[in-house]
Amino acid sequence: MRDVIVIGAGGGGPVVAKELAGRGLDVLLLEAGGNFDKPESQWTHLENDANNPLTGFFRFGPSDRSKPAWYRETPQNSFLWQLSGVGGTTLHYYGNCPRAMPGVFAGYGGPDRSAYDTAHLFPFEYSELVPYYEWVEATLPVQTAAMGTKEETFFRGAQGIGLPVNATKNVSRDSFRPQENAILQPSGTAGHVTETIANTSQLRHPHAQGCTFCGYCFQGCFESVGAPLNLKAKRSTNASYVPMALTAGAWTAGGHAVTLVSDAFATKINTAEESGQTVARGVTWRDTKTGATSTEDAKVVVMAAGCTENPRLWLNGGLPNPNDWVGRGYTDHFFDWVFGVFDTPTGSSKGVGSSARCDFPGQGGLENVGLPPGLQAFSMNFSDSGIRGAYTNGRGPTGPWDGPAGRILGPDLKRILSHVDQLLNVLVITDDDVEAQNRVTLSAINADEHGPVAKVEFHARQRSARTLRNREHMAAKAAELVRAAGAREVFRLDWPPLILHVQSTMRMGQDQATSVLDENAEARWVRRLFVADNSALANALGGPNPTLTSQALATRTAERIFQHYFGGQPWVGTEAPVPSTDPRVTAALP
Amino acid sequence: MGGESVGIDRRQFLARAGVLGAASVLPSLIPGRVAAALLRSDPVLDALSPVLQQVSRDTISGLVAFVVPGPDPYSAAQGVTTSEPGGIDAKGAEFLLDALDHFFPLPDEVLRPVVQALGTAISDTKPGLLPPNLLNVPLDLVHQLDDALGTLLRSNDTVPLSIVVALFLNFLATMVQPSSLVGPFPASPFANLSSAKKAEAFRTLEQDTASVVARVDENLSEPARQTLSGVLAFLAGALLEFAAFGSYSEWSAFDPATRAVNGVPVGWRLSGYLSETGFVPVNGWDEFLGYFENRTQVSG
Repeated sequence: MRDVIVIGAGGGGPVVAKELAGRGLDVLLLEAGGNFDKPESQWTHLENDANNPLTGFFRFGPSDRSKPAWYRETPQNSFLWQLSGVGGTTLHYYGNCPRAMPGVFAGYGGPDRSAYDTAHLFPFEYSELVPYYEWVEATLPVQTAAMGTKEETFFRGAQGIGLPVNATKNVSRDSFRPQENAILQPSGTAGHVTETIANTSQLRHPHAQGCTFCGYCFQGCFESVGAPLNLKAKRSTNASYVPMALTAGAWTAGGHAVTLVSDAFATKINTAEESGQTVARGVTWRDTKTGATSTEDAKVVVMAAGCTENPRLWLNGGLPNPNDWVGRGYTDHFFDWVFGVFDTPTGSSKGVGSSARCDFPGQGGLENVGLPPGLQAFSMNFSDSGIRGAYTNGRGPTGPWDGPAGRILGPDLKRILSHVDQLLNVLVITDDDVEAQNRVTLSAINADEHGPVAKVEFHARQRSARTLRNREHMAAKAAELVRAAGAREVFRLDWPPLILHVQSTMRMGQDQATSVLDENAEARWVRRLFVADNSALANALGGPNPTLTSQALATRTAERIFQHYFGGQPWVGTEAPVPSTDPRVTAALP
Repeated sequence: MGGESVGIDRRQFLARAGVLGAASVLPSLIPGRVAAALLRSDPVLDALSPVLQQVSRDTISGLVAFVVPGPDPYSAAQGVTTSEPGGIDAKGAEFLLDALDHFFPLPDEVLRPVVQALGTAISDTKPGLLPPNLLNVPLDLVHQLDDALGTLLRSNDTVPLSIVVALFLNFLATMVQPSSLVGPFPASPFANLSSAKKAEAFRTLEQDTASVVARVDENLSEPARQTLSGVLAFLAGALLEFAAFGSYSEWSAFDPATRAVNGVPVGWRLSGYLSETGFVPVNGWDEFLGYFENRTQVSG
């Protein structure tokens, strides 16, 4: 009998695991994909090798890459970007750690309070989460992003459209800023030296520390070369929370190292009926290498398998769903894509994937994105507006960009992509509403070795009026910014759903009729069952990237678990957090 | 086996799928193998394989040239070429074929409606459009191919996805331009289309999905129709996105043994990616410009 079983070692699960291991609990952490504990030998800087969703080491599938990826039904033009493996989607994230907009929490009294998704607020106040933000920000750690050419270009555009700079962690007005991100700032030779993979000497640890501006955030960070795992520049959980979880006895008195089992696909949450209540009792999983099935019991079970897989696991296991909200309310920031073509270098393929952003409370945000050429070409062919110059698929919006939105292919693609380092991409982030129609269900037509697969439905063209209005506003702002930065040509793609910032499919909420979790992130209908990843979020946060808020919420959830089921006391606010870069963690790494 | 009138309908079907054209250019390979396979109940796919591979290779190549044109014959056939290398040179077709047939995790349950619908489709085209080379394919061979393809499409065997996609694109091509049966690529009406007509085929697929589905099989039930519509909408996007991604990524020059590139990937040269280091990936760039307004940290 374990104290706690955590399902999923992505952005959220390792946070609960590390925090409770720090309290001395016996925690089992399950991960469906492989373990990424030796990234320098496991990864490359090559985008197809890394990001091909069918074959890449950052795909959603078994760790044996000769086996097919795991299929999920997406019955529309869309792209669902899941990732299995220890670290989950923090492996390819850009480390961005903005806090949520205060207006998406209960009790917000600002003058813009009606501008948010007010029907789906967090069931507590923003101020309650701030100490947990601070705890996570110190643990990862979160720092102010360094600048390269593409950030300098982006800031020029933001100033050009009259935005003020925000020099705090909290957002109160339309503004721009360097990202607050979970990427160690460059020191030593990092950022000052160009060296190829064939000839790296000055950029090795410890001469180079922190971000080396290599440009490969999306392919996984193993910089600087030779650095211990917990000192890699980008603070994916495989390099931050998981090492802490595995060495809990080394950095805190009474800590109990977590047991990590990778290649373990959870197939069922086992429950019992007690005094008329359904109570979680343990987890059954399948070893994806051997096919063997295992079961362990636990006093508490934590789901952290992601916004698509948590509902699937819940529904496949026949857990109660009386209000039919398990899997509903999927939010994705309804991204769009605007980019400019410049006559001068932008350094698009260099440096951190995204180190600059704009925030528009109640509407969304913008952030710059640098990409290598394959992903750049992908981004330019992902559209709900047909093929530019040929047909519009019933859309093809026009605005402060050049011509109608749509895919760019043929000679146009070759011309526009002839200098990848003279592009500036802007990701358009929409503050989107929780809507019941956007959801995860079980596929009626397909099952795999783990049961019926998830079907992810997004009704992009039928999104709420506020969502659609916000998206158009943000796309226009993006185009104006890129133009003000000096772009010669500006294009909008009108992306279909790129399901990558994912939130709220197992949402906590004030209203029992439209939420799955209570204010402690415990399932309303299954005691001792908690959710601790993006799916627990009440809404789309107003546009900020979700990982930091999930990690802060997971920290709070860990405290609640410790208080309610293990008789412990809270620690955030009374103790000092240990950074994941602590030398005791480094020394204890296997 | 029916008479010549039935033969003309089925000849139309096989022609529009590209299969008849492929058989017409691979005559010595086919008749004996197909007939023998049918007699012996050997896996039909094996016998048809040379024909179907020709169909899928030419069709997917036509798709890749559409997305990333170059100086190759597929670009020439569509009337849009560029002087520098394109997706064909970047092995974009091989990338897509490999992905579709070996890794694309679309399960049989999803494909079956498409495949079965194709098997019963195509009876609405007026006869008489066939070019001489296809009219001259012997009736016996037409029947053998028809039986073999019908057997394959009705079977529970897994049909490689590239073949399903190719048959479908060819079907679309003959919808938007019946004369696409004639051209430099007998095995692929799609590859014979002009670039503008290829766009028209995708417009039909994306914008008129419902009518395409209805024309594929008017007898589909509503849930199956929705599933098929969803699959087609997803596939239409994915084919274009993956053709672009594969052509510009390192795939064509990647050596799985060393997990490094051999030579310079075409897409890197086309985009100037890593041109400053002689096309070698880096562990870091001299790119650090400091902090905005020299602020290295902000308050809570």
